[in-house]
Amino acid sequence: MLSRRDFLRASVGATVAVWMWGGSGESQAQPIRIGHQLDRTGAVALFGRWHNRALDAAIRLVNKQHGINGRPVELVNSEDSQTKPDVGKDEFEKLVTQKRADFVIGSVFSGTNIATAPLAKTLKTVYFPQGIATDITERFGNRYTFKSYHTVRAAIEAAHEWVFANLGKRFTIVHSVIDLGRSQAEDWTEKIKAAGGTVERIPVPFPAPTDLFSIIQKIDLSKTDVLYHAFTAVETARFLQAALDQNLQATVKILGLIEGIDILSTADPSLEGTYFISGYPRRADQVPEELRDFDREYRRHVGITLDGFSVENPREVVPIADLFGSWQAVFLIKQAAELVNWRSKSDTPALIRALEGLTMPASVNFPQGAQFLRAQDHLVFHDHYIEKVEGGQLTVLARLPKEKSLYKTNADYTKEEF
Amino acid sequence: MLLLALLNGLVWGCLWALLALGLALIYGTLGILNLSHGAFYMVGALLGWLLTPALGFWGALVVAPGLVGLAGLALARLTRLERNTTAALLMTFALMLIIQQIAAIALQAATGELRHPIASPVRWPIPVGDRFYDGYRLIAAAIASAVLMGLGVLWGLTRWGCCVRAVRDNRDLASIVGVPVLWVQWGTFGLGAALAALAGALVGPIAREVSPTMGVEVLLVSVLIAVAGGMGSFGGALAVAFVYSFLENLLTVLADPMLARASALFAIGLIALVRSQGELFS
Amino acid sequence: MRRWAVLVGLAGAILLPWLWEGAALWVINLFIWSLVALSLNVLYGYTGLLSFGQGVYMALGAYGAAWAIIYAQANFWGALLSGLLCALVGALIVGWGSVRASGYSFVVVTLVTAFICYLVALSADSITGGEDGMSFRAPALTLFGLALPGHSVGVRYYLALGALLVGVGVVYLVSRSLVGLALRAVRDDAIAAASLGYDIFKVKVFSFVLAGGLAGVAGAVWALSKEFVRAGLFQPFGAFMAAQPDPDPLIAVLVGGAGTLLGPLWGTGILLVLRELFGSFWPQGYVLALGVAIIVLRPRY
Repeated sequence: MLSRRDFLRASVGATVAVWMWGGSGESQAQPIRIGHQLDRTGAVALFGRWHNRALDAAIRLVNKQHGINGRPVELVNSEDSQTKPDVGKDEFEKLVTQKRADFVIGSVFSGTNIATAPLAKTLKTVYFPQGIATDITERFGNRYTFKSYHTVRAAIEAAHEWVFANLGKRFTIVHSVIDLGRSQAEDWTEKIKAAGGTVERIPVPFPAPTDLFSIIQKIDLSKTDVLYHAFTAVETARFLQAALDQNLQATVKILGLIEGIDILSTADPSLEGTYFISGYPRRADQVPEELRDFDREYRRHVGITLDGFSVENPREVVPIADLFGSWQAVFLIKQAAELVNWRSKSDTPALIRALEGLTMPASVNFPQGAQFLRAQDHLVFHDHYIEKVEGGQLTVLARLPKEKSLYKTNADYTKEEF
Repeated sequence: MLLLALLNGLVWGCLWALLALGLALIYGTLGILNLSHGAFYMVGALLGWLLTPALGFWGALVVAPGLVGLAGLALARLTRLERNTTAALLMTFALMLIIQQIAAIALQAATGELRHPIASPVRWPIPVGDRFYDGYRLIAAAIASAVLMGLGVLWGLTRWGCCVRAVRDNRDLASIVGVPVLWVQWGTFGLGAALAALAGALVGPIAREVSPTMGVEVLLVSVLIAVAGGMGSFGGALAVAFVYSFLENLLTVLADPMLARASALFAIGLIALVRSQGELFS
Repeated sequence: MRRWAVLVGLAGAILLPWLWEGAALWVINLFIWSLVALSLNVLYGYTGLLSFGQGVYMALGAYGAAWAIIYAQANFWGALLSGLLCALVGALIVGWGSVRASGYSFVVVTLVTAFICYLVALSADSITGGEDGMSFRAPALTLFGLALPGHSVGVRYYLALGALLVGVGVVYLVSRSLVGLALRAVRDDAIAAASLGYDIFKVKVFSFVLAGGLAGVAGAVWALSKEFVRAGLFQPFGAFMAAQPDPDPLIAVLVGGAGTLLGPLWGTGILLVLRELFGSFWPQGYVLALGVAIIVLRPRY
């Protein structure tokens, strides 16, 4: 009979053995290590998996391009950030201190980004958060955090003129009370007020209630041109479905960020006729002419079909635009590291200075098009698109050049010490 | 607008009543707080979705609660839930964890994700003013209230109802006069589970999705309702379920959705706290 | 032999952050969650009061520390003290109102209270950060005139270790004292205890507040170590919403042995080891194993 104590001894022993075995496998080779704060489980697990795939593909491409400064690049994954800020932060620490990551690509979950940012500075490691909360480039970022894909504020800045001119200025904003929703509501309110429009805001608890009926009841159709929604991906689907139940799609124009439906098929009737602000067209034939060669390469490397689905599973939608954040972060590192001949982490301040104000031409490394990284808030600016679901397919209505998303920032990280 | 809010309040009142009643029945006869109630609700929604291709939605609506009810009865028997100790309560806690996790594993294996959309079985949009009301909800409410009335008849007029009340009031005495106490207890547990599952299967097409954790919050809210209604009383649970539902829907439309949910739950919670100080304790 | 083992274990525990930093990060979690389980054991194991709401006092401790740092720029010790005080006050209020309930009623009250606290924390998101939570920087720890960075692994580790040792010490002293006897008397037979002259109400309130205080310290240490708090800490069964739940204190107590001094520590360790083991080959099996463990172990009280 195994007593409780024997069992304990055995299990502790076993874990220690597993650890030692795993720990001793690390080699003393020379590769540059890029860490990934990977959420394998939890709300953003699907995004985590795809970002990891994009990173893997990007690093294989870098190694084909003779690595960085001639050194090979290696991807090191964290165990599991679990879509939890406190766990993600510990995983970041382990990536840097134990797995000796030189750079870390962050979680897609803004909460994890915000919790991790101060530690990136403490550990003097460049960190590329992948959440789209504006705060990571304003209040909560620092000299070591770089945002390689848009934030909420940049997207709204880019789109607001087109939206006011083409859809209307009388808004009803239904938003989740988490930061992702609230920040969109606040930024839009400011823009609408400045343009002389009207805005009605309806905050929705998070997680959203099982039944959204009464919330949709609150929308006053006679005072609404544009119904704007700001939810997490899962809740957006339920919101649009509930709106369809009350036939709102027929009476108002429905708008949101593409992040809300990033992993949803657009064939669902509740999406028909709705508008989205996106960072990149989902379908290859909607990509601007001059970027199509790069687009084809990018899709081939990551494993995305021309319609935006996974190559292996033709029913799985790939968050194609979102992945640029991770893909391009790798090439940002490459471009800056080669500029300053980065050798070890003691060269990181020089690399940060090189990144600040860097411009990137369109190429297979930057398939999203020509971009630049603003020095003050460490945010990359790229083109945006307005897409509409027509006949079950996302179709581009307008391309908004990156200069349009250039808003005035309050941050200035360049004044911070290293 | 107000009319629709009231109507929706009525629909949800029926559904909450089903849930709270199941919980109250189990408390009355077994004397335990069934923490796996939310899990049975979730299984109801899950089975409703799984069985629909084979049996059609209406068939699934009958079979899913039936299956869950039988499973509940078997589980109550196997884990000897009738022993009125803290252990029984912890057993239901364990059941909650196990059921929830099996559902998560199954759903992940079947669909690759932890949540799955559910389509509405009927398309019956009723035009009201400048928008529509989903007619399925009325059908769901009708079914729920029919079941509630049936239960009322069972409770008040049949031998079974008499036995249940006897066990609730005095177990030993009931046993002496020949009531099969154990079977009444196990059967009531099964019935409570079946009610939760029916509620889950009915809510599925309203919530438009199933997920393994959908029962957690439902459990807490139905505990609040059942306790506020005075655990073990039929009418109390019913009344509080409707009060809660009307409050939530009306406040959402008239005030702020944030405030509505919090204050409706807060109100019921306070009643529950006061109540559990009073009669529950004696 | 036994004494040597204890000495080697203690020495290992003290030197761990110097020897193996990665393991230290893991052990910090073990210490903190052990302290939470220890606190619940005072309530459930020693006094026989089953609670599903112990997370509330951990959350109050965490928020107490966070608020002190964010709004009052408190130093390290100030934050800890603030966490402890918040939890103590909360436990006193809830305990005073709830321990008269016995058996299931008490369980219901703890559950309802926790749910209400969670709702309040969600609604008051301007000060709690809601589900997003709030992050902050842990202040430097000043000790004997030395200022140590608050977020270093060493400081976090020794803080957690120290808190756990103090917690174990307090529980040991209490359990050996007359008060400890009173707790067990109330647990085993409340009527007999009353007839012996114990004031059952006072004994229970004491147990509730002691448990709350210990959980509060654990929460404050958690917050200082993670530099982060969120409203979800209050949520009853909230841990089980995550794919890889943190060690549930109640299950830890049941697994390790309720009413024993070090049982909760072993229990927490087993849960964390299980999570680690399952995590490598079948992450979803962990919660399943927890459920089966409760049924197999057949709780005593």
